[in-house]
Amino acid sequence: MFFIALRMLTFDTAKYLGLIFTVAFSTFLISQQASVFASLMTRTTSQVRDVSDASVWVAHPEHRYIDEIKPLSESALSAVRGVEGVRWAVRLYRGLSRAKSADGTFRTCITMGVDDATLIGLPRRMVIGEPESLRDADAIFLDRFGYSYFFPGQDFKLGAVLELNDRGAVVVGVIDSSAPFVTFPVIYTRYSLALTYAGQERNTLSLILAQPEPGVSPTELASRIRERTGLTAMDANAFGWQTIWFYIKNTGIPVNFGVIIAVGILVGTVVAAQTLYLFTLDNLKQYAALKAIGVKNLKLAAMVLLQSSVVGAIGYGFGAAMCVSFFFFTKDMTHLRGFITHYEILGGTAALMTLIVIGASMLSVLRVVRLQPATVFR
Amino acid sequence: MSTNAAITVTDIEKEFGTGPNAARVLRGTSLTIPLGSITMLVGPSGCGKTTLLSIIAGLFRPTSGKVTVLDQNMFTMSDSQQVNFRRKNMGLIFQQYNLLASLSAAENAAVGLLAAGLNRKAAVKQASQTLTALGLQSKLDSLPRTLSGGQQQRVAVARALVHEPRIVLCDEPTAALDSKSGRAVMEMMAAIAVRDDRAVLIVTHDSRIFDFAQQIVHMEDGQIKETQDRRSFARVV
Repeated sequence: MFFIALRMLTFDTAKYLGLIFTVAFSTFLISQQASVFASLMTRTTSQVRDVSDASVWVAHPEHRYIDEIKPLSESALSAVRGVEGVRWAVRLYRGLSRAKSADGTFRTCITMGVDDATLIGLPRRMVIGEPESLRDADAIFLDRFGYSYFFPGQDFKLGAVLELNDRGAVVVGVIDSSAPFVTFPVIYTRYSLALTYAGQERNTLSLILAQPEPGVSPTELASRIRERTGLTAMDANAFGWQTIWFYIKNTGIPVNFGVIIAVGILVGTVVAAQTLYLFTLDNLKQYAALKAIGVKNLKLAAMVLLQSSVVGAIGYGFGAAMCVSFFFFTKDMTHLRGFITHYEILGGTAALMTLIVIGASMLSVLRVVRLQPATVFR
Repeated sequence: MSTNAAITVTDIEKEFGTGPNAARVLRGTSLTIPLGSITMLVGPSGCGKTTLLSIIAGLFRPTSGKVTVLDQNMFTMSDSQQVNFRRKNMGLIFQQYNLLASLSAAENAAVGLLAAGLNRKAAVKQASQTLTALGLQSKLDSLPRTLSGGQQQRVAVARALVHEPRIVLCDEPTAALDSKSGRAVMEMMAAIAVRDDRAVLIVTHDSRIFDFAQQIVHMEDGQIKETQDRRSFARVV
C-alpha cells in the first residue's frame, strides 16, 4: 500500500513541491538563523579560542567578558606563579590601538601582546611568516582580513609597515586568526611592544595565561588560583563561555534571533500542518474508497505518516542544503567570516522538523481515521 | 445454519443525529437477498437506499435491527473482523467510480488485493486478467483521466470483482454512463458476478437496466414497499 501513498503524494507536482518547499524554507530559516546566532556568539570568544597553549585564564576579580578588560597589577603574575600546580604562567595584553597605513587608511585594531620570552598566546595558524620573527624590532603579526583592510588588493607580503601610536610597526607575519565579534583587524605582537602601542595606564597586565602541572586538571588549577589569589580564574572553555553568557544576558542579540527562530518554528508548524492537511482533504474521497474497500485505519495512518515523512525528509534536505550553501558562498565575505553551519544545529533542526512534521501530520491522520467510509456512496 | 439467503436485513432502524433534530432514515426495514441473483433496490431520492446499502456493507452501524451476510451477523463482529469480512467477501462499486487518480487501471483494479496483503506484482497480474476479461486489455497502464466514463466504471467493476467476492454491492453503477455503456457494464456484471453462491445488490434509478434483475425491491420513506420477482416485473419492463 505504501507505493500508493507515494503515488498519491507525487501525482500533483505543484502540490508536492509546495509541501516540500514549506518544510525546506522553514528548515532554512531555523537552521540559518540559529547558525548565525551561534557563530556570532562564537566570534565573541575568538581571542580565547585562538590561544591553544594555555588551558587556564586568569583575570581581574571583577572581570565580566573579554572585551572589557580591567588590568591586573604585576604582582598578580607572581601570585599566580606561586600557586601549587602551576607549571607556568605568562602575561597577555589585550587592548585597542589605532593603526594607520602609509596611504592613510585608519582602523582601530584589537592588539594582543604575548609573552616576550615564550611567545605563548600566539595563534598557531600562520598564512605567511614564522612565529620567531615576532622577536624582531617593531614586529607585528596582522590577521589576514586586517591585512586586506590596510592593503586592499595586495598579495600577502612581509615587510609592510603600519603606524601604531606614532610608532612604526613592521608586518612580519600574517595570521589566520578567528573572526572577532567586531570586525576590527587583529594585531599580535610582543607584550612589551604592545604596551608602547597602547595608551599608558598604571596597570597594564590584561590577562594571565597559565598551564597546570601534569596531573592537575585546568579546572582544579583555576579553583586553586581563585582560592589563593582572589583573582578570576577559569579553564579556557569556561572563560570563553563567560563572554558568551555576558552577551546573551546583556544584549538584545539572543532575543532578536530567538524571535526569528520562533517565527520559523511557528510558521513551519502552521504552514506545514495546513498544507499537509489540505493535501489530505484533497484526497479524502480516495482515502474513503480505500477504507470502504478494506484498508484498515492503521495502514491509512501509516500511509499519511509516510507521505509526511517523505515530505519532511526531502524538505529538510533542501533546507539544510540551502543553509550550508549560504555559509559556503559567504565564507569569504569579510563581514561574514566566522559565520558557519553548525552541524549540531542542523541535527537539532532535523529533530525539530521531525516533531513539526509529525505534529502537522497528526491532524491529517485524525481526519483520515475518523473518516466515514460510507461517504463514497454519496 | 446455512440458508439460501445471501443477505438478510431484519427490522433495521437508522437515525442520524439526536433529539429534535434526529432524522429517521430507515424505519423497520426488512429484506432478503437470495444467492444466485441480481437484486435492484429502487425508490425516490432520500428514501434510504444508500443508507441501507452502507449498513449492509458494514460502513454504517444501524440504530437497531440485525444484518446477516453469508450467515454472519455483521454487527456482532469487531471493527477489525468486519473490515476483514468485507475485504474477503464483498465487492463495492460506486457511482463516481472513486478510482485513485495516480494509479494505472491495473493498479486501481488491484487495490483490494493489495489491501489483503498480496504483493504488488501478483496483485497487478491478477487484476490485469480481470480487466482483460472486461475488455480493457489495451488500457492496463492507462491513468483514469485518460479513460472514458464507461472504461472507468469497468475498472471499478474489475476492482470490485478481482478478489471474487460472494457479495457485490453497487451504488448507481450506470448513472454516469450512456445507455450503451451502462448495458455493457451490466452484461459484464451479470456474466462474472452472478453464480449460485453469489449475489449482487444494486441501488439504482436507472430503469434501462431493470431487465438484468431477478428481484426488484421498492423503497419509500425508509421502508420496503414492494418486492417484485422477475416474472412480475418482466411484464412491466
